[in-house]
Amino acid sequence: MLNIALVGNPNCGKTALFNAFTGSRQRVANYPGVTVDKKYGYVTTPKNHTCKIIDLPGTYSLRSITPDEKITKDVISGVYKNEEPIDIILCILDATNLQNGLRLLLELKQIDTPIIAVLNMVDIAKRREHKYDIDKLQKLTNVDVIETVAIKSVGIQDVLKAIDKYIQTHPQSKTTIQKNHTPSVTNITPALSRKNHIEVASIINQIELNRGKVSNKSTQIDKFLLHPVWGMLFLLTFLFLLFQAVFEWAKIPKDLLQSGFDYLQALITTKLLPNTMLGSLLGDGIIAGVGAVIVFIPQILIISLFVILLEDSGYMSRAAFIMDKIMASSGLHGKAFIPILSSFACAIPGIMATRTIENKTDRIITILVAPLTTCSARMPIYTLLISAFIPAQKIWGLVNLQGLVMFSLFLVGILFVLIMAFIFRFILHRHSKEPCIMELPSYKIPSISNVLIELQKPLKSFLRRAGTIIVSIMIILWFLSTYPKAPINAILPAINYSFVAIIGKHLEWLFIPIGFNWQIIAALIPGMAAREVAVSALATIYAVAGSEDAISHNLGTLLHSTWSMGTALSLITWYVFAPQCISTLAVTKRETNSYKWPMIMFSYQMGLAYLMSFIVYTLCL
Amino acid sequence: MRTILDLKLHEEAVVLSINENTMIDKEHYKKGDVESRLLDMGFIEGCVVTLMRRGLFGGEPFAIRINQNSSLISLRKSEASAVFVGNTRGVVC
Repeated sequence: MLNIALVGNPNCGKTALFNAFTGSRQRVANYPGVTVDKKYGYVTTPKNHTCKIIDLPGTYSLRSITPDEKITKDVISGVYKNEEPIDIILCILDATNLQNGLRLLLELKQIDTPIIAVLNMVDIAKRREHKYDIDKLQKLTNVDVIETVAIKSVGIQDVLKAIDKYIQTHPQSKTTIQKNHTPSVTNITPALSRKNHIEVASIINQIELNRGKVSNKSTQIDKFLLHPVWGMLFLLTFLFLLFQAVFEWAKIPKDLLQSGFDYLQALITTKLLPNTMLGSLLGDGIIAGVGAVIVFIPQILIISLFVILLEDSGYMSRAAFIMDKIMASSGLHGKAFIPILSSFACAIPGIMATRTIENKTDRIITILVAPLTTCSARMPIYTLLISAFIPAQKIWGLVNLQGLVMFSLFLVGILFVLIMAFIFRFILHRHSKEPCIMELPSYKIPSISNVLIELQKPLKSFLRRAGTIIVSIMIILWFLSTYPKAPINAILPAINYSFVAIIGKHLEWLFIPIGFNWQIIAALIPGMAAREVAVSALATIYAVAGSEDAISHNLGTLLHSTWSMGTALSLITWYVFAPQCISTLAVTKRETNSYKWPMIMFSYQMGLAYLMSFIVYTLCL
Repeated sequence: MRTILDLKLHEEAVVLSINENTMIDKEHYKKGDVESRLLDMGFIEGCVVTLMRRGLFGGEPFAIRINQNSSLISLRKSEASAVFVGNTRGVVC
């Protein structure tokens, strides 16, 4: 089998080509550094040769400074651990920006692995009237050039035919010769870069039939969006609207789902299986617990939609540009903004995205602070408590107060990202700097089909978690909160004699200063699995404890009548800071390759959560 | 000599040299890093750069267009101070 690597500048369409080849649906967006890890897929050529396609992170040069670029360099030079040597490199060139791509092609030619060049995005180039003499390009570079529009799967067959043609003309390379040689990458000095620059200029001079025009649209949009004042206002308005939308748009679908689950729960516990253990397990345990998180799906989808639009349109890097000054003042690397903005959907891809940061210390600081960003898994607990405790009134008849509180929680998260980054930078004595040069790609209108595909991903993973982790935790929790049974002469509701109450009450002394009751403590323990689990756990605990009346009320109303305002605000504050997500700690362990950093992350977040909740609770007393 | 730091908004200029010797905060950077990165991103002696936007309060970062490329490159002030520029009169691009 042939190993084929996709290599090219960031954001030139490698992953789109990979998806077109393999039929997979890897994330494609419009900012440099979407792909930070290698990915595999398989494709069969028209002549029935099966090839393994390896999608690699984008790079401008084989000098490779950042961790993601190093993956690319190591794989194509055959020194990556457990990775077979590459038989063919597909070098993807962006037809709208040939210079950078051709320079990389010249660097790749130093390795003696065969290359096929893929000129991608020819549709956009055509629209801008760039015209090139492809035959001449093939002659000058001595490399086959195929034109494609990867996102529309145009030209894919031609690339496969070119691979077949290569196999036909190099039958021996399939097995022996390629596998035995180790390609070497020469040191790319500034002098060599300059030489390549000159050669590329000469190539372009000879192949260019029409210079084409600059896309003025991006320039026009940037006049406004990159403006120091308007640009900042736009970014804040965008984020503000997002949190308004979370409450306003999601209200109707959420209420519908809510009444559906309430009806189902009441049906099981009062009509179908009244006063039976099975009825209680199904109704109070599973339906209450799973239903409590499922109702937040509209919110998760709205947040994801905004993030996808941000990434696909090309605005992501602009937001990083606007925020750069603020980031720099806290000592964060300029590239840290994109990981932090991604953490807004989920900290796990956010932490992975730090691979675009060159320096190890800069990268670790970013990883440590990323989980403070308001991720979508915090939505259930925030929404639950905000809806229950903050009145749903409008300020100036326009702004939803609940949305405003949510927006401030987001701002507090960002503020502490900056504060903690500043502190960590001070502790870790980070003074030396790395160049921070970013590309702002031209704007693209997000494709509806791509947005829909991407929206399915958080939906599926949320449902999968609800169907697996949450169901199993809820079953365990139901047992723990039902057994042991209350004594016959019990005065308090039965749950007060259960294991959950015993455990919760044992730990209660620790949490009294921050106003948590034993029910909250009992929900926080399974809530370590993922943030939304705590909401399910609260639902189950209160459903098991509840009388028939309590079931017909929803969880929010119930909490409102049993908790004080101080307890609610303290728990919200806890969730702004606390490390209630085991997957984040696991990905930190993997990315830093040590137990030290996840432990530091856990302790500082725990300490900060306790301290801030204590302050909030004390102020409310 | 002027650098990208001295460009006015929307001013076009030709790159005369890329040189780390008088760069801001030079001592904090590894020698050659900034020069190499600038070359990788498309800066080269003779290319025409346009300052499209600056950050808050007229400071960093700098959004630069190289030649007539459709994408912009964002630089912080240290990198910008390593790119020396002159006026475009007499330059054929």
